[in-house]
Amino acid sequence: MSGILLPQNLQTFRRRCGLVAGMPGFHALRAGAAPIGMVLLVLYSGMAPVGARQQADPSVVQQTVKEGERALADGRYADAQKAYETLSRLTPGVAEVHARLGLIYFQQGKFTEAVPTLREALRLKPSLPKVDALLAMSRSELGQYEQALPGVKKAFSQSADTVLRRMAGLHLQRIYTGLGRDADAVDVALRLARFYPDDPEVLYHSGRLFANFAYLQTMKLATVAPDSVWLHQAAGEANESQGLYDAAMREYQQVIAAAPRRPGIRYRIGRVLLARAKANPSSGDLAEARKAFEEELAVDPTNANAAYELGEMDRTAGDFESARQRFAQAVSHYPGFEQALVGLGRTLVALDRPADALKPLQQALKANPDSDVALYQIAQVYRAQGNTAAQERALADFNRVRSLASKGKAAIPETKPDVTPQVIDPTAKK
Amino acid sequence: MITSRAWSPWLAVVLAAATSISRSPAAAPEAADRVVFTDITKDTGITFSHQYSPDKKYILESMSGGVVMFDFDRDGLLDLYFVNAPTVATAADGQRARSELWRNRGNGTFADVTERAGVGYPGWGMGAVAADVDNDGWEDLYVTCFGANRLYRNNGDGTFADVTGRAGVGDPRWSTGAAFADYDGDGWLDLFVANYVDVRLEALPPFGRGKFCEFHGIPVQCGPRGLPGSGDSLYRNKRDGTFENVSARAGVADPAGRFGMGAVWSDFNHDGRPDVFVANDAGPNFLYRNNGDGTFTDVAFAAGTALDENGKEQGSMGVAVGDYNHSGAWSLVVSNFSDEYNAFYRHDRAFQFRDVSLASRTAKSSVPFVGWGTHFFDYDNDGWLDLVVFNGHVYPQVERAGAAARYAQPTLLYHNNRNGTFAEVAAVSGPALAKPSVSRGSVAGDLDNDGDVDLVINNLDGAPTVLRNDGGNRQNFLVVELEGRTTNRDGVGAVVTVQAGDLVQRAERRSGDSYVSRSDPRLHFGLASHTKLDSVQVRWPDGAVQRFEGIGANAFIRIVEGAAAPSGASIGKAGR
Repeated sequence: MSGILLPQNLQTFRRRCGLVAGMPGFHALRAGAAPIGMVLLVLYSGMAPVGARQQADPSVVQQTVKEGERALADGRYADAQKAYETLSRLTPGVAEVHARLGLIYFQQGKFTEAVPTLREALRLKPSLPKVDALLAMSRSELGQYEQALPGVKKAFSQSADTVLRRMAGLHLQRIYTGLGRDADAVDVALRLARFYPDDPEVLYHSGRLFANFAYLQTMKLATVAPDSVWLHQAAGEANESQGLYDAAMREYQQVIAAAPRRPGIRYRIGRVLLARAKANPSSGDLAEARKAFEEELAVDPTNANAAYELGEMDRTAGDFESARQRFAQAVSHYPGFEQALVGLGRTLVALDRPADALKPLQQALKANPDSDVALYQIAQVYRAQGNTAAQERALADFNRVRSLASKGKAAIPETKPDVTPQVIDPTAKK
Repeated sequence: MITSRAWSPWLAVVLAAATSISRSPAAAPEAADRVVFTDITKDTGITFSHQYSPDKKYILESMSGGVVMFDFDRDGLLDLYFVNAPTVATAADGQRARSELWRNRGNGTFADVTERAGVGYPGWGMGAVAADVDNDGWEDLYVTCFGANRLYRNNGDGTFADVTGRAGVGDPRWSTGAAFADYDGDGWLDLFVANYVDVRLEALPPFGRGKFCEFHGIPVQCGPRGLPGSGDSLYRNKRDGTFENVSARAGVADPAGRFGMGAVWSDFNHDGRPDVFVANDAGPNFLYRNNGDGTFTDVAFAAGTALDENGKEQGSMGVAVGDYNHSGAWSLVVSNFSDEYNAFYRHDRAFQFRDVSLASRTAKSSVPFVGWGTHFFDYDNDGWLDLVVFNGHVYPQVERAGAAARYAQPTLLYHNNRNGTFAEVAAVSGPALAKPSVSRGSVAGDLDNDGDVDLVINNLDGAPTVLRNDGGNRQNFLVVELEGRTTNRDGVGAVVTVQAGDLVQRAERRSGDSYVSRSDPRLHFGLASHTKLDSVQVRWPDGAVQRFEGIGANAFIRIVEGAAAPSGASIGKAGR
């Protein structure tokens, strides 16, 4: 059985993930979409002042407006709601009063009240700006996705107001997800990421969406092919990525049992053994990892990753000629393999062949201009050649890249690489 | 299908690169099998115990202490000075930590002479170094501290006088490594002092709080990353008992404040002017080239000693310097933090080093350990320098981190295979080396004058370790003591070259290396089966050369600058 969690059905899963209206976390979108003051500012802007076409006692109306506005300004929404409910009774034909009351309901999460109030405002005055968007988002909050969709879609695609467009985009993403229109949801997520590339909430929701999407696909795989090698491979990789190495090994072994010549699996087993060896260096896993990589190459001689790992093991053991051959093998099958190019270059440096080392190192730089290891090794090549000027230039480039990397590193957490990277020190000290 | 070339980790949720770590199986050469290091600490009578806190909640509690091997009373026997430090808690209680001077009685035991010597309480001690700063023939003692350092002048009668104030070398910062050399060639020893972190006792960063206070996900002491560093100091000896702080003018003040640890002087380009290497923790190392005009230039990046082979800065602690491959150049080994390898920089030509850590086969075995004291030394007298690294983590909490590292760690002993590679042989060199310890400073020297090199380690959590070399003197040796006359009295900076057949070795007289320590001031040469030396040559710091021929093996000789012949005595080969 796969190690992947299998909910009873997709709807259960969507509910668990807060993709269904009424679930905790769903309304967080509203509260977190923008600061309250910002929402009010955006949605109030363009609305006509309250007070036009008054029919009740003007002084009472004016006083109530004043109280309501003051309460709004102070963030006392319950008081503002009370004042505007009074106003809506005093001046039932004033669209702006209903619009403002609807907004107050929205802000407090009272979407059931917001929907009819905003609808009334639009009935009285269809031209009221942004009220249709607010109504649509209120319906979205209530899970009325079909009704909400046109208004939210329009606000996202047509609004020039970036704050409103952002809010509408986040709602639209959820609406599509809720409607099971995953491709449309992904499209909105990608557009949001383009419009708001550094917005934490946008990044959070798009990341969650993609993860959910991947999860759903895997669940489907579990449903349609529960005993397939694909599911075992997926389970193995999922377990591996979470550091559950023994579980990962079991899954990979099942793949091999079912498909003994399947390429790639022995490589993954080798990677798991490498990871396990790190926690327990004396376990013998390292030798087993080497064996797994060699077996992988027996099954698939073109597996550049397996050749690379063997090269790296040889290099760190100081067996440079053997390492050179392995790296060269990896590069021959995958010419743009940056890590293997760096490995090959630095191995040639170690073999006192600096002139030969330059080419693969420069190729590695083409693959990744920010490869600090490649730049540093190039500086070593020039030093070995006695080319001081070139060495200094390479060192300057290296220091520039290093400086940039140290600035950017804190913001972007590392992910687990698919091959052993060209560094020995994986953790920062202290 | 997901191809084998896929780069992006699928469903990757964790970090950490998966590099392989393992101790290479020992491949002990036959000759090495016969040498054993025996723990004789109890037999020596040394009862020194370094103060420690079990939890090491503050970085201040993890970095002490050094040890000095010097013949303070000039009886021909090496004595030992152990540096001590309080804990934050004991310091808050007003308690002091007693550093101790132990006199070698010559019968395998030592006597505590601290009180009479007056060197017991230098402060919050870190390391120490000995040198004859006033050229009176008696080695003085400089102790680095968290707080003002101390210079104790050796009065020549078993007592010392604290002359720090007058000398002007009481650097008030958190000092670590110190080393003496005559950088300006005036015949008087100058002093370099590395400084570490800029913290105050009353404002130490709280344990485990912050991103620089975690190790493998568990809370630990904070620093040095995330804390301000301290600059370094160079004191020029003014020949009148006082020193002048010339750090800024000389260009070695380190205004950026890197975390200085081990420091060593060596004339890397053989121009007669000593250069200085500084191992910096969590930052690029310094290699200051002596420009000969009172100034220095940091050439570490260009020379290839600033970073490791990956272009990555390491957590550097101790330094060993030596001509391990008989090339005539001084190579460097820098002990580093766990998850890093000890950096082995082979010196190919003047200020051109290459990181040969992997090629030398010393890298992999060192990765799980935090290295401190380290020495190039010829433990089996085969004429080739071997290597030792003493280890011990800084975080007791590491035991809970789920990583391979442990708090107390074994020693790494590498035998020189004479082809650029080394074999790790601790497992076949006696149980004492395999015993896990929390080691810090260490010294190497012939403590019992039996012709082989012994080792002494100051351990952070309690008693030190004295390791007697048993079997190293089965092969022949020569020990050379130097006495300068026109150059500095210690002969620091002099280079001795010995030739016996095709065996040519060089050694440089230094004062201060390893981790915050100072080893045997005499130069030890293993001679394998050679019973006679073709020549012994001394190049003194001022460039003068003396050459002697026909010296027999298994001798301790003293060469006085300008003297017609060395003095000294041969010993038999009956030692252990």
